Amino acid sequence: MAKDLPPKENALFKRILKCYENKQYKNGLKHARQILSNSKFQEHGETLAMMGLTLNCLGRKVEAYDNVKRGLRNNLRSHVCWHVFGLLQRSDKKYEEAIKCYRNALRWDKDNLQILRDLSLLQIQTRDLDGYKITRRQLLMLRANQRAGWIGYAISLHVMGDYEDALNVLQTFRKTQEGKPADYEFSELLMYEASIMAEGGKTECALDHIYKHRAAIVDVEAWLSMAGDLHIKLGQMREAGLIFERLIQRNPENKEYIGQFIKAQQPETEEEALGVCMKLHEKYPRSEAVTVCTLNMCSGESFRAFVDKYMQRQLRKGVPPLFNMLKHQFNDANKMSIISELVHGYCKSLEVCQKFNSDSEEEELPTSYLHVLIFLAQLFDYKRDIQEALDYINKAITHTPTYIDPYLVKGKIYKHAGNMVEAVHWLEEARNLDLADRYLNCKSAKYLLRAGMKERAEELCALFTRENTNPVDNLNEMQCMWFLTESASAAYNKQDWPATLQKCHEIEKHFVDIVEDQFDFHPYSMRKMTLRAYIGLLKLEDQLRGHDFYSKGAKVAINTYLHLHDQPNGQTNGHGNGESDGLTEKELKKQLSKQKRAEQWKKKQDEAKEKQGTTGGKDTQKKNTTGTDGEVVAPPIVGTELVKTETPLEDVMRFLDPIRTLSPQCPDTHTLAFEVFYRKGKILLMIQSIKRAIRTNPSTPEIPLHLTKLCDYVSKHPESDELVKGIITDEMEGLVPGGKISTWLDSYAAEHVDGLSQTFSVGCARAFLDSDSTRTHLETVLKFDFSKASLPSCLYVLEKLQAGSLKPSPEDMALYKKHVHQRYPLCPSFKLEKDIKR
Amino acid sequence: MHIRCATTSDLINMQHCNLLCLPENYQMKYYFYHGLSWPQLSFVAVDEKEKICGYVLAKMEEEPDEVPHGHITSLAVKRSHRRLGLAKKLMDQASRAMAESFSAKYVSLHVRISNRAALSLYTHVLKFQIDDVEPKYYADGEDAYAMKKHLNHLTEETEDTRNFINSLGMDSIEPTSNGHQEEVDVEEQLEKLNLTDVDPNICDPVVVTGTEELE
Repeated sequence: MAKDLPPKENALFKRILKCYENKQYKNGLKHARQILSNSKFQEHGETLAMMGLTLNCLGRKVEAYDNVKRGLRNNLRSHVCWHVFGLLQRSDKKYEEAIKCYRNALRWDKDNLQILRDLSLLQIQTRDLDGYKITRRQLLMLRANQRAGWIGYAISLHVMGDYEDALNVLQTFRKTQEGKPADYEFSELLMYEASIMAEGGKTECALDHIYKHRAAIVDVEAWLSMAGDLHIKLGQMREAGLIFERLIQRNPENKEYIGQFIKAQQPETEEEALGVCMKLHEKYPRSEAVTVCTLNMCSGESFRAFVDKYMQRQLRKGVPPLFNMLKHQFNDANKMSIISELVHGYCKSLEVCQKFNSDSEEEELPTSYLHVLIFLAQLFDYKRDIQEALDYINKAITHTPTYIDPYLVKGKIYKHAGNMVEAVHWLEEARNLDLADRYLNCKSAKYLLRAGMKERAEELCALFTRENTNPVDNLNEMQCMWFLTESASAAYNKQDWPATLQKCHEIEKHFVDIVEDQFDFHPYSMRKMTLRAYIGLLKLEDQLRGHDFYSKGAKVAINTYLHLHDQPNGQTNGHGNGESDGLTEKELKKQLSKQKRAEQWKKKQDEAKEKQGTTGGKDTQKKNTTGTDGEVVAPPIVGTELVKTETPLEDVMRFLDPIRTLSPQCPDTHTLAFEVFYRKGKILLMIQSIKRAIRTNPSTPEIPLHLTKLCDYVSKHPESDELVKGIITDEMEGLVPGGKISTWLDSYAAEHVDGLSQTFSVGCARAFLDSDSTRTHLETVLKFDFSKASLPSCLYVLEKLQAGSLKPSPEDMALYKKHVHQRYPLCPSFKLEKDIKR
Repeated sequence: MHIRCATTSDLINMQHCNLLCLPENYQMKYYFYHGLSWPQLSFVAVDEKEKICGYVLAKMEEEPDEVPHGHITSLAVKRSHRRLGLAKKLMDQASRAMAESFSAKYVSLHVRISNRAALSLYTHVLKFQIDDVEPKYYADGEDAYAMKKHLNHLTEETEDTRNFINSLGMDSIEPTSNGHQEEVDVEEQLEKLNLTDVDPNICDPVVVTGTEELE
């Protein structure tokens, strides 16, 4: 290194390196300047590069780049200069560029361990798996006596699906370890090997392996459950039975163990399986998991007897989640009516004689009756019989006004009735009964956001965020996703596009950060040997944006960008509240304060770094794996800037691409994708989106209109490329045989006569084909039998009508609202304005 | 109800549950730190839809001069799932894993001195004892009780489980000995793997964006 410097300068150069490692950046700069002050070395490449790297750590980005590039220009053959340039780009998260720099550095020093290690880190982070494998192999060749060399190469093979070679490497490595005492890390290594064998389908091999090493494996739980699963796979039911019996004894609430135990008993009929389950229940009467399992298996009279006993016990004990525990039984109409009958029976009997049944021996405490009332309210709410539900919950509240749970249930009933303002009221009643409970606080805040009362929601949240901080900033810093997704939706409902995009981009930023979080764990997990968990991390990160939190935010963002595209001058839909567009004085002030916040950002970031991102206790503050200096501080996200975009259809892809890949099970993904590709004029992608929407849910209400629009688009935009044209023709024939879209619509309509949204969508599609017929289709919708319509579908159609679909007159709107109001009298959206004023 | 050891993909949902229930919150990285340092120790309770209704986030304190002991970083059960005894069930699982995988001798935790509900849970249901008061432990200046519970009662169970595992079939297999073995030559082993065909492309020159003018 720095071979071109005389001894004195060379010594100084070494000190720069040392200072950099020890984070003494000021001293490092001093030494660099000493070398550069000598006129002979003022253009010394490696010194300039190191000076740049040091400046980067002090946050002086521009100077950093200037120096590093100048250094490189002066010494293009130096691995130091290239390595430094790579580190600089890495600190700015330009990983692809950094990888290229490292590879140039290796050109001049091909066996440099540090550079190879840095390269491998970026390769796994960016999932350049081929490159990673090559680099890891190189590292192993160079340092065969280091554990990390072996483990790293094995992982690189494993993630490429090369199980055979991965196992070879690990077994070879393990041979070099023999004689050393078995410890946690060794145990983890053995289990990692077993997991690769099992993943690669080598069941017997895996079983042999864990038996052979059973004395050295300390993760008993994993050993037992893996051995049990493998035995079952191999049909060795006696061993499997013993093992799962033991596992259930250790944890009777694990439904996988219960399921495997039953399997191991090889029941030939459902009855026999139920018998096994019943025996377990006798042994573990308090296990909720065993109970649920038994309930799932039995039916008819045995179900009645079992659930009767179970419910009486839980109602007597006063277990609030009882309803939730039984809810999934309602998929079976017969079971639902049994439960309903029984609880109604308890209610009548308790009112008469304080007993669950007239022939019971014991008298119950009043709390049993209270919980019966709550249960019945939930049951009617589940059936969306709002009035009955309210009657029961009101009785419960009158019975014991200090008990919190019924207020929550009452809020939920109003939520289902479409009246968020009333719902908020009851959530607040609950919250006020226990101000120290954050759960109640969050629920209340969430309802407030749904009701459009953002300021009040934020005030509530502030009660549990760190003192002397802005609660919104604090929740954002803590990656509080529910608050962000709800805030985004609330802003969207108010057509406040800047605030909507702000929140959506904050969500996206958190996902970027969580992907970034992996970085330190690549070397860390190899040191700790927690390799099964590490492989889990890699898989999780690859799927991360498939999380509900992401798709919720992404969908709101996509709708917003579509709106920005359709109405580029920031007009609102015309019917909405439209409060936020023209800049009122209040808005202006807000914007100014946002800019101010942006300026304070840097300062805050530094403070935040000290706090290491936690509001927890002392012991959490000192812990952090590593933190790299000179990392980019992300600029604050400013919604007012985001809405100024000239290219909404490009910006939207950032949100659309991930959900298309990772949330394909959701029909909204594909209907939104269609909307985007329709505006972009991408026929093949439109076809793909419709096909996927049909595959995920053929009743998706958007399909008729989208398909009609697609047919129209294809006929108006002839494709010149013969190959593409052929594909389009084939695909269209598959979707709409003979191109007869009217016939398609007729049959879709016939299949969905009971669906309001679908009927409406077919109407829109027909009106699209023949605008003269619009009135007829509007009238069909207005004449719909609303007793069959769900509240969400009524709201869906309301929103579309308000946006101008089927061109309703004010009288038509009033008529629609009147009809729905009769069905859903509590939902304020369908009250006529004159009624609201009264 | 279903209680199981937390996987890496549970961590983000544990963070969500934590933010709903407790005032002490952590960024994802801190959850990853737990999940990748002590993957055996954290547990979740999930409902029929796999939604988390309770969790325990736990770790080891591994100071070299102290006896190994576990620590509960965070424990929460959603209000909607109380009275099912989930807190105890979760804690029992975590404590056992600490003893089995890390030979923990006791488990410690902190609780706000004002949090009477939690204090009563730890004292009466979970049998923890107050060990110390840590002044101004929390970010808002509140003191904490440092609480402790010995895990002696698990020694016998651990022993019993070991015996059970050893009693299982598959007698044909020789157990591994970790006793004296001859030194294995690393280089020799490496050669056996036949890794010498390193891709020459690894050292190919690459043009880095923004440096074209340099070359």
